[in-house]
Amino acid sequence: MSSSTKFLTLKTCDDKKFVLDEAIAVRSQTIKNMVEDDCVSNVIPLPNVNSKTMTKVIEYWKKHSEEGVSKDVLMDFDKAFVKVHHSILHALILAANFLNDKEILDMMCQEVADRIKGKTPEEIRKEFDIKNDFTPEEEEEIRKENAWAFE
Amino acid sequence: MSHLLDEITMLILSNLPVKSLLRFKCVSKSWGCWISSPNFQLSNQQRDGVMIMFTTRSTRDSSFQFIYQQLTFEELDYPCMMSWHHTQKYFRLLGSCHGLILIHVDEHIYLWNPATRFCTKVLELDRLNDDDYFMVGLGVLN
Repeated sequence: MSSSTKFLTLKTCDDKKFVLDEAIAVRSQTIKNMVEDDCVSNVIPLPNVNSKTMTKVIEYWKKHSEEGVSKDVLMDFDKAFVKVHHSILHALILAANFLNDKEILDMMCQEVADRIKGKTPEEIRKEFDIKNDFTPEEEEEIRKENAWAFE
Repeated sequence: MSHLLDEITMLILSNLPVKSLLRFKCVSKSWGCWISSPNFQLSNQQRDGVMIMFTTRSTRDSSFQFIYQQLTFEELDYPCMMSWHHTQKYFRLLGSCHGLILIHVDEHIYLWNPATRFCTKVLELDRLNDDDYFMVGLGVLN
């Protein structure tokens, strides 16, 4: 470890602290901006992220910052990384959005898309807690227009 | 998985295959709106492969095909939303780019995304004289 390594302390909403190499933490554009704007004091608060989610994010950051790690290893890592319960997936998306980490965000959104692509509109409404605001006639009309998509 | 921000929902939608998208149009009015919006329907964020359209003037039928990077062919299962009438005299492919196709049908020029079946008229030529000519192309803004 070189003497120039700087560490940042991140504090999640449940008051857990994570000490992290700055070079790794700046994978988050949000943290990077704070560092560049010099508005980092001792501790960076992450009010929208809990410790369980942050642990996952840091696991990803560290793996993807490893030196000499092969593409295949990373691909296997990513594959395993997204296989989580949907509540964790949800939390990771919100965290990646807050931390502004496009890599994690894109990967997680792709995973959600893969999970829902075969579902019916009813299942989607249930999954995303969406209220159907179409009248039965309007819905029927749209279904007719796109009948082949329901085959 | 509830109450995601709109922008995140859009990001998820942009990763879905076309068939799922069309099916999800009736989930709610806002989903229907997003999926039907020209910006969304004319964007091809993750639909890879080059699209090429073959048309034959001799018959009323045109055939549409994707060419994937592996150079395999696949018949398109997405009929065009415009109906081709035998009364239409003129039909020409003008160009294609990122899965969008520019076509010339009689006096109109359309931009068409066969994958989403979205088609929009971009130009009317009926004011042109017979001996006028025009050139047109398609490109992507980086």
